[in-house]
Amino acid sequence: MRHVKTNSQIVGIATAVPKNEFKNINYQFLEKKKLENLIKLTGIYSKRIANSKTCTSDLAINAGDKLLSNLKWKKSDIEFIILITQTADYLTPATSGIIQNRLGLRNDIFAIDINLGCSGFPYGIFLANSFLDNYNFKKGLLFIGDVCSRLCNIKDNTTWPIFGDACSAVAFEKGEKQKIFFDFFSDGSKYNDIIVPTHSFAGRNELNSNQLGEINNDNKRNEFNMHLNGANIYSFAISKVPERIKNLIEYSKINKQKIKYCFLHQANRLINETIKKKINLKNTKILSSLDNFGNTSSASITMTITKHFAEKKISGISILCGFGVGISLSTMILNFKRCYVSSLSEI
Amino acid sequence: MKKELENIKKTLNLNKDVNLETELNTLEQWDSMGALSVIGLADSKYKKIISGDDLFQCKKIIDIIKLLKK
Repeated sequence: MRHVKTNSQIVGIATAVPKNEFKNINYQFLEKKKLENLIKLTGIYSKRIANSKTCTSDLAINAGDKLLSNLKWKKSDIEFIILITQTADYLTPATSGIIQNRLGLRNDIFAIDINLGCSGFPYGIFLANSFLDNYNFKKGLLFIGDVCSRLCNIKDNTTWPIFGDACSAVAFEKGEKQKIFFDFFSDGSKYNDIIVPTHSFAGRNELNSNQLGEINNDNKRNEFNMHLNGANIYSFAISKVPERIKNLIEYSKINKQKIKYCFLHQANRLINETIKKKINLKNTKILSSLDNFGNTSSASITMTITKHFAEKKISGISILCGFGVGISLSTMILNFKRCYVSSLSEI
Repeated sequence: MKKELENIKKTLNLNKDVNLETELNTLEQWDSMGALSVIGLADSKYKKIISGDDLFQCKKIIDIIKLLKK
């Protein structure tokens, strides 16, 4: 656990999702009773899914354009872009360069892709803050999001009904000084609990093209699809996440009553409700976007902020906590100060 | 073990015929969601964190109970 005094401030957030909505009640690969139970346990009624041509960059550019126009920022003022995604458009080159070009940003820009999923948002804030505080950058954008539905096999009921697609743009600039608190955790021994085995050098030799591998309960997925060990993730999340959040609150010495919001990664209702119970923040609003957007991976925190604060400004001490693939976990306490949230964009 | 059996039956919504020796793979309710519910039961009622890997080693209901009581 650490803290830092930063001049960096989040001044705007915009999120884009695909127009296409999938209602889980129409999912064909699970019998009715089981499907109803799944919807009840996950709390996910519908989600947005990208078509076969929509990439992470498409959502990022849409969100970025809207944010720049809402903030009335000049494109030429953007000095860095960080993209956090696990669904980059290509294995190589980096997608941040594609975003730079398609958004019409300057060429002398710091552009970088970072491969993180559900834990990504606090990492992104940490990096953007470092750029502004230490390297004299004045304005920059963090893009964060995934098109995970394109990794899920529709016949795999452990992933398909859960994941939705979204990407957010987050604007940073120098502002009032504030102290932020953060905690990061990584356990690569559990790398296999959420994995897309191919597209990798590690999995390449075992590649068996399009043969479907069969798993229990007639789920089907291949080596290009996301594999999720939901039970292991659940055990991890309900033990480590509350512990790290509680420790960070204690470390910060912030009075619990003053914590206005808590934004947890939107995994599923069962996980999030268990965490909520354990962290026991009675005066804090713990908001969710699971019902209509599902688990939007790295974008889930900004998706939740967009759902609840669209066309408004968010202010107040907030806990942000992302957890999942890696396994990776990140927690941050910061104070939002009049951060403008754009209305949701659909493409 | 009776209490644990009742808790598992309630959690998985199982009928009365189920007993300690019932094979899990014969139960329609024993799927990924069922596993999450049992992990939730272990956490809330028994203050135990059971991993998915341990849970999927279980063959019979009694094996789950052994994890709960471990």
